[in-house]
Amino acid sequence: MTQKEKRLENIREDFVIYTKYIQKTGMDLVYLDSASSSLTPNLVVEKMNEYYTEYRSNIERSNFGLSQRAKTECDRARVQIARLIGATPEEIIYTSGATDAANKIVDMICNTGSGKTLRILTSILEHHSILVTLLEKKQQLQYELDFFDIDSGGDIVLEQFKKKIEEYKPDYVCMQYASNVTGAIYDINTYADIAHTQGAKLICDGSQAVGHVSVDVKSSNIDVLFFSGHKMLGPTGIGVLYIEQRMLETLKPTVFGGNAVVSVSKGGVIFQEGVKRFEPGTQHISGIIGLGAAAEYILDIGIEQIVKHTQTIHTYAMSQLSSISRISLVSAPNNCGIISFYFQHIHTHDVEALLSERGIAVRSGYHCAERLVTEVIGKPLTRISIYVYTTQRDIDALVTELKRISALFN
Amino acid sequence: MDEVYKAHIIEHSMRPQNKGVIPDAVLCSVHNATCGDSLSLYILENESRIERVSFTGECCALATASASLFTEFLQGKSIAEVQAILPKDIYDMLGITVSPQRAACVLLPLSALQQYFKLH
Repeated sequence: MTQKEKRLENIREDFVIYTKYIQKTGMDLVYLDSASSSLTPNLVVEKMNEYYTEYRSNIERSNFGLSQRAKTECDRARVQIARLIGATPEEIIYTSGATDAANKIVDMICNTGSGKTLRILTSILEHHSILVTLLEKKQQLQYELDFFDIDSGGDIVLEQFKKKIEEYKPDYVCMQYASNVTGAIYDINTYADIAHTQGAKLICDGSQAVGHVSVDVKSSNIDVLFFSGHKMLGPTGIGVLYIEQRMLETLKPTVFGGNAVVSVSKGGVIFQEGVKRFEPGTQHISGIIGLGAAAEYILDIGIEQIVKHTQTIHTYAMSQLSSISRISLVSAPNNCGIISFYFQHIHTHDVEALLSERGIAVRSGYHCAERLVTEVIGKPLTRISIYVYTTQRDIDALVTELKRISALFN
Repeated sequence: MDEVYKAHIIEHSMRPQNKGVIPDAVLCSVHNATCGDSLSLYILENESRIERVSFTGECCALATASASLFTEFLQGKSIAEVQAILPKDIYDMLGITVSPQRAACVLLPLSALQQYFKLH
């Protein structure tokens, strides 16, 4: 066993919540809801706490020692986050999360002042963070929006996708790296290449992928990538908007305030160069430090180890869940660690509530992908999501309870 | 929290009383924004009494059991009596305590009744 494998085997020592939960409730915590929000390692909490207790101060506004330390830690975090996705630190813009990033990028691409009516292409596979944003901003920002088709199984048909791009000729294609409903990991490289062939740029929602699978924005030719920190072991309230350097230079800020400017006169404003112009005001410093620590933690374990672990548990879970009577599973073969399911005879919220009584955390409903769940699957779903700390024992506990629940309603 | 899914709750959810449409009744539909469930009450009033009441909707076990027990309770009651019904009465009727997240499920039939009084 390698050092990294050994580390993964003892990983629960890094998550004090497991001990605290059993102390408080007398039950084991079976946390299978990481796709909604992951647990946070002690190390991340400690790093954030360190900021508040040892060097609490603002950044870039003072020469005071504490401020210098805070700045150094934030710079270090930006390097680690960039490393995690194969970007440079100069391409990382902080946001409050994926939704904030999705809203910002749509505003930014529509704010170039070219006067051209943009064409944006997406699909019902998308999470509401970008889908609702695209639907709601359409009228205000005056762009055209169209959807590429998916098949009855919720998959993208490559030839249809290609044909749609050729016919519609979009300026931007918005699609996710991995699905928060089926767990499907898309061949983003191929889709990016098809988009680029027709002159379109690819905006990618990486929320379910970053920290879970190997993401490299450069080798995948992703122009824009956004994701939240709280789904990848980081704190809530912090997210990332990656924009490829050349594209970034063409964009203008859409949110304004202090610290993003070089000078201000009554006649106008000269903005900072680079990402600074997109980050006005005091940033979520503890969040940035926490996210940097989470990125470092993931890099330290090794993304290949995380993928291997997720696949092992996913395969085990699929085989165990399949043995339950009257269950229907929804989970893609090439998967980021998500299995959704439903029972014909039990409402999904009852499944969730009954599991919750036994210390098992899952999510139920439409998963912020109402069109996909309604049009393709036709029933609300219960979802489990697997991450570094998920064990086969968790799956056994889940399966035992699901069998009991299924029998309860017979 | 006590166990919510007691035997009588599951029984009422699987074999609910008064489920179906009453022709010519007044229809009141409500929606649970937290989960997307919808429930409709069909109320037939006669001489200031609930002559007949039924419900339809594909809801969770708690909302279905609540509608089943609630509609049983409402049959034949005077309008003055049913206007005085409070959430606490529904919990007593069900014999369970629920978390704030599930309160909307349990109180869905009462919301439909309240809508009836608002509109009629």
